[in-house]
Amino acid sequence: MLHSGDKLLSYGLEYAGCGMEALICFLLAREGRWRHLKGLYLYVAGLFLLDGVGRSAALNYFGQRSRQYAYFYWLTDVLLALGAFLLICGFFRRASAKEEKFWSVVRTLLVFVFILVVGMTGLSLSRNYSHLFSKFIVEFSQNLYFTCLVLNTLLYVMIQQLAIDDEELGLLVCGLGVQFAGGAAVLALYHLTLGENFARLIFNFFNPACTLGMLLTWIYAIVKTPEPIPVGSRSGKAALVEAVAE
Amino acid sequence: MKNYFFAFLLALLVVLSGVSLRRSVVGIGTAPAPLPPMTSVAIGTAPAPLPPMQ
Repeated sequence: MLHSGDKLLSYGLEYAGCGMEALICFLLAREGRWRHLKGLYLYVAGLFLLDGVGRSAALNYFGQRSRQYAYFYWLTDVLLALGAFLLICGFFRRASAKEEKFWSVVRTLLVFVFILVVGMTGLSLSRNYSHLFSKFIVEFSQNLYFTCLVLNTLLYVMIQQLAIDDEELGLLVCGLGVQFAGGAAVLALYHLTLGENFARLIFNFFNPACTLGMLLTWIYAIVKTPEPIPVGSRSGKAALVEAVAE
Repeated sequence: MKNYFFAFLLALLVVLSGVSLRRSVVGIGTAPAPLPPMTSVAIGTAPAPLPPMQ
């Protein structure tokens, strides 16, 4: 049971997350930067609609202990995990943009990963037919979450190994790492900590804090790194002429 | 064909690593899991309810 101070903190985290999601959408929409980061824009817009608006409305309408809110929360979690998986696929595409052969192997790998996650989730529930739908969505979202954690780590190692000169991509991948690795670390901490109530509070606040960490890293990535100027455009040509003149 | 086989093996390794990581993280500690079990992580800042049907 949460006390009033804890509730205040919980609401604060929720509204801060909602505000940051809206801020990222605004930053990307300003000056048409979303064209360069379409995948990220779609994911953050989805996060804003599902988490910021949809879950808050369901929470206020049904209450946190209701079955409707639980279904809505975990169903939207599947969608967000799927979105995160597609976002990681987009980052893999961007990281291997200059090497088509490498990308063809990575693309096959990502397709196999998705098929295997669906297959393994189905197999793990094959002998348990009661409440199949609800168990499947939770099991699938959890398996996909941890697979995304491994894929994101692989992507980060790949960026380092191939020495890809893309600071923005590195920061965006780091942001996803905060979300996935942070969540896994919190879960481990919860099971290591003997104080059950204390651990549950950590779990309740650290999980949203990981999402906030991801959003903050993305804001930093968007604000800090300049938008790449296409060489063919008029401003790009002007910049090129200036650089040559210098 | 060789590339497909390599990609499949790597995909199997990735998925098994993810699932094993999940199981190991959930199973850390010697104390029995308290009820209701909090064995799930989620994306988003809204307060997380217990997974349905647990």
